[in-house]
Amino acid sequence: MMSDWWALWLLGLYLGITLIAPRILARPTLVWKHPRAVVFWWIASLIIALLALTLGLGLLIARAVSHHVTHIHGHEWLWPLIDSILGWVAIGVIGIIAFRLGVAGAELRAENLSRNEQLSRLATTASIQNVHGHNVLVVDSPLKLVGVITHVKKILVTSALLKTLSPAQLSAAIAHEQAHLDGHHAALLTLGELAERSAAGFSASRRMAQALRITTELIADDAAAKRFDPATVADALELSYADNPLVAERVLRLRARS
Amino acid sequence: MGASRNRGELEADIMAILWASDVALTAKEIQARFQENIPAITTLITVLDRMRIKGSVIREASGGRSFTFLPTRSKLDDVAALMASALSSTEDRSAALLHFAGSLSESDRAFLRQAIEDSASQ
Repeated sequence: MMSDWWALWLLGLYLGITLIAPRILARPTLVWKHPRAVVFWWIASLIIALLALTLGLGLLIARAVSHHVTHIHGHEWLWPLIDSILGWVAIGVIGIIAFRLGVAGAELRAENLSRNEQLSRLATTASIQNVHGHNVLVVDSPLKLVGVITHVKKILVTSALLKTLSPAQLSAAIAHEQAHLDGHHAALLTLGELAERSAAGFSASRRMAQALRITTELIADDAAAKRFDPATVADALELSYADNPLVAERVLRLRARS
Repeated sequence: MGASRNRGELEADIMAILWASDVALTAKEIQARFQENIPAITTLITVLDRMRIKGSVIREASGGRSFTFLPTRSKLDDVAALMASALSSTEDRSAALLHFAGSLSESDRAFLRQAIEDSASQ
């Protein structure tokens, strides 16, 4: 009967997605040119894969329970036995996934709590200033930094950076950070980290986490570049991270568009 | 009832009170300087003791049974230390920066460099 094969179909779908999605969605040029589409398809793939895996394993368990109760009699022992074994394997897999998700979630939660506590303290030392129409937290510091404190949904900028950037560059930097807040990028990054930690060693989860890290930055760059000249965003990025080479490629991407 | 503080906010409020004072203060004097959401004296003493262990304040005997408290560093030094701490609170400094400053790791940069090369060759 067709319904007997549903579990295998669903588990096959899960395997297919985990094998194919990284090959397509982790192509550098695709991420480079269409970061928003890449995020959408990674999340869609993740949801479909998780649903297929859960339903597939659930069906295996349901079959095992059903055969165990009604069909063990006479000579028809092989399939009930196989179903029982697969059912136990499915329960084991679900248990391992739940355990790894729980451990990874607890680790992430502890790290976030610690970081949020420190950032909360930092926020209380800041003054709220209206910078070109945005209420931002300004911290008196010689470090040049701009960023988002996600748990209080505020943008934080240091006094040194305020003095370094021109009004247009500062607005562009704030627009970049606002795009992170509006797009719930912290939640996407947490999802990627959770997948990477709970399925360590799996290429799909590692590549999804990397794609989410890169695409969220590119999307925020693009959002700022839409409102301002890409060159202004590139200048702001360079000046904000003058002693940090990690933004060089993003600057190059923005310069290519200006 | 006043709104409860986030973790760390009470410490920040205590530090602000100590920085605003020219002299060392007792726990009772610190409590008296709170304008709103006044913490219980037992809470204050517990937090001050925790701050002393962390090195944020020093405790001095003031005669009798009470102690006075002084900040160990200026407000500017404290902010600098907090920023350094907040940005490196995870084992992987680049991961912490990802959350806050939005820069990418070396492996992410290699991925982007590959994209640049692929785009150029197309």
